[in-house]
Amino acid sequence: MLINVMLVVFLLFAIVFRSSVLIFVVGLLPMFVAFFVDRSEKKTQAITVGAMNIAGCTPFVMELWTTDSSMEKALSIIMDPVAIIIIYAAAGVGYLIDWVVTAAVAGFLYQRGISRKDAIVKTQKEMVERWGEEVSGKVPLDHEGFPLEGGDAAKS
Amino acid sequence: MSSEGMKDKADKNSDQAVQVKGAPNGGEGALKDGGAKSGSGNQNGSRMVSFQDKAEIDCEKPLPLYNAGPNQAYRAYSKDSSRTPLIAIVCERHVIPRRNVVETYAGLPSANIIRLVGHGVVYWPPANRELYVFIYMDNLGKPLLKPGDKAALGWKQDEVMSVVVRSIVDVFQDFRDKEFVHGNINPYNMFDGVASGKASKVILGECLSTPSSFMQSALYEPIPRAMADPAARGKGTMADDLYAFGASVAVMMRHSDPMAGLSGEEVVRQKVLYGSYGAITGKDRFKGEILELLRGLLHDDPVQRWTIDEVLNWLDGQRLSPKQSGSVKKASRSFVLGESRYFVARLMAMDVEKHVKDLKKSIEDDSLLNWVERSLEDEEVSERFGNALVMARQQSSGSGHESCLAGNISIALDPEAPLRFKGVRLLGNGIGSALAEATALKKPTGVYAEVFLNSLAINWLNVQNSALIDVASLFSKFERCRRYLKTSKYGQGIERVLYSLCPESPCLSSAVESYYVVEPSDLLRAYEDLCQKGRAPSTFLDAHVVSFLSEKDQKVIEPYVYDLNTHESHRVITATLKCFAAIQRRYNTGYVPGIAKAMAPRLQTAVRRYHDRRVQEKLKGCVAEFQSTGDLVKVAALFEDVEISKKDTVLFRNAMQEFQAMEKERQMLEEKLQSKETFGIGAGKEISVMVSSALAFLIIIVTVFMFLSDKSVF
Repeated sequence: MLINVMLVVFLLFAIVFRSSVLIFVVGLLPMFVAFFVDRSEKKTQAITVGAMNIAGCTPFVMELWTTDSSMEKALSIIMDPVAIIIIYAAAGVGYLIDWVVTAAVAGFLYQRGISRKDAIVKTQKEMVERWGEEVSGKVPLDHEGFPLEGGDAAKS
Repeated sequence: MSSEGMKDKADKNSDQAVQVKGAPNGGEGALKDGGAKSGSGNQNGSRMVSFQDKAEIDCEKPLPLYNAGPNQAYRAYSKDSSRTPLIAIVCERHVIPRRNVVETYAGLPSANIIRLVGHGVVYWPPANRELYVFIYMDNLGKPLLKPGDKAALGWKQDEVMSVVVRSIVDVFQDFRDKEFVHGNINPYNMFDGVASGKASKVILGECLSTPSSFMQSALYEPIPRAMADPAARGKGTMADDLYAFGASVAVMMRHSDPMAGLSGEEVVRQKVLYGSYGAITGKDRFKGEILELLRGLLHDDPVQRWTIDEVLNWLDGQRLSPKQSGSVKKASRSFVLGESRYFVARLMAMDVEKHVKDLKKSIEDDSLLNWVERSLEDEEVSERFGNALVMARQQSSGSGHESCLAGNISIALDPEAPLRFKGVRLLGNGIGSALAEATALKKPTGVYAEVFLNSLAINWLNVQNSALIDVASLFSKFERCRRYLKTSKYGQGIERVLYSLCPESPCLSSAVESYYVVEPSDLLRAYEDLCQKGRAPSTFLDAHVVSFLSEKDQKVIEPYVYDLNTHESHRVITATLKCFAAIQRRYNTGYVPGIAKAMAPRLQTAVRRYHDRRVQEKLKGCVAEFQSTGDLVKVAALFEDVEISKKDTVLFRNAMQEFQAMEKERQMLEEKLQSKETFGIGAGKEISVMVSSALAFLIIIVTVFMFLSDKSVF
């Protein structure tokens, strides 16, 4: 029901702002493709590309809005190869950001994970040195926390 | 030396007679000398054994004439310049000396008893162990009767009166005043006090080196005590001493021995059948005043028996007519048990144990009950007999039932007799010394436990005459013993019964069998010596030692008994340390480096019971220091500090939780780090969204601003 209402509202907007919609529909094609291609749940790649794609469309939409906002103007903008290159290049920058930043951050986090793991191992080793193997919980313990093995039954 | 001179010297010595324990093998431990060292043994192979600073004992010069039963007598000499000859009685380990009455004995003023010079523990080289020794003045002379002599001296009445009766009555007055019981009055232990010639008085020999009446033959004991095992006769009464005196006088006066060659049991039968007077005097006929004395002293009823006051009145010339012992009550017809015919219940009681199968049969077919009710015609016996049957059925079942039944029937038929059970014959307050003897001789002691667990001891006590023995005191003791026997934990069991009923017993633990341990401080001394010789026992506080300490000084053992019973090595060793420290502190024994050295490696177990290795290292340092000093108190204080232990536990628990959390994180990281391609991609994507969005937002704002300010982008 809600989707239907939104669809109706969108159609009304599309009819009212048809020239702007034309630029967005043609200009944001990379974003739509990214949405379909990105299988991740959060659609982060699509958002990254989409954000830059929208930024690329912005000068041309502003140009339309600051003139007569006619359909002819919209068509002339959209038919201009430079405009299309700029818009699609912006989307490409989005892809670039997605690739570079993701790789950089993942590499950084990987190194940090290794460091953390090494630090944990070192601390655990120190704890074992101070408290014995029983601190690890891997050795069966009696009610006082001492290993059950070790011949406690032997009399002194 | 004149007898007066001897007496004076003896008195002086008796004043100085204080008990000092001996150090084993001349141990060179760090124990303080205060009361610890007495006789040092002859380490160099010398025949002379030094006893305190009073005497030297020649261990190669026995004096068999003065032997006290199994205890051998040896020649000793005073250590002063006079080198006065003395007699040393060396007690065998299984014979428990009467240490509890030594002070009373030393205070007896009479000149007609052997004078005590000293007593204590000495290392005895021939036995290679410590033994208890009594040193007496040698003022005895010859015994009136020697072993092997005919037990009938045929003395005339006047001679007996002047030499024996007046001397012994003098001694008896002192016994009465000091409430002392001799327990060994017989002609073998009476001495003429002169080297040669005719005696004018007799001197009573020693009585301290054995339990009361231990050396008395059945002839010199009243019937019930004669029936009991020698070690199980318990502390006697003055009435028993007077009986022994009467029997001794009769033996001195009679011309023939009617019971020559008879065993102790047969002597008792003769006494039961003919009365003590009739049995001992036999065909001899006495006349005049001595007849009254003998009848009075040999009366089988202890209530009717003459007291010392009556003897004194008789000596003063007052004529008394003692009642003759009543004739034994016989049944109208006999009862056949086994292959014997019985008319007398008391004699049957002596034998029921030998015929348990026949007894059981005669009870099942009621023939014995009919005989008791119809032929014996004694209502008291009938009532006791009925009760005994009920109790025997209630108290035991299975294989022990027959013995238990025999014991109960024996009690019912002859309540004055000792408790008879599985071959032992015990009087109430003699159970302790009998048990001590059995333990020392490594005989089975189960029968003593059964006596209590099957309530035979209580049943025996229930039929005793409270005018003759302290029933109430024994009752509480026996109940306590039964409680001890319900568990075999340390501090209870048969060992606790032993030390509870026989406080004079030394510690009979096999760990200290070469030592004579009578006080907790002696125990520390013994262990110190053992450890110094490299013979530290595997268990310091065994069942015997714990029970011994529980009876001697509860404060040094009671707080640690629980830990000892856990049998966990760390608890046992710390409990041992704390116990020894308590003894060291309370008895001011000085340092014990030998024990410390032996315990130090074992204490590592206790050290390991702290989680924190730093605490362990500190404790190890303290233990190492302790090993060199032997200060048990200081180290025990470390292990007693509850705060250290509590803090250690709390910190360990926290560390465990922290470790677990870290382990979880480590495992998660390891799992994720395994796939390097995907690690951090999610986060990277999110950051690229943020970067891209921020950049796009900036571009949009700049573009809008430029358009609004009429500036062209392109």
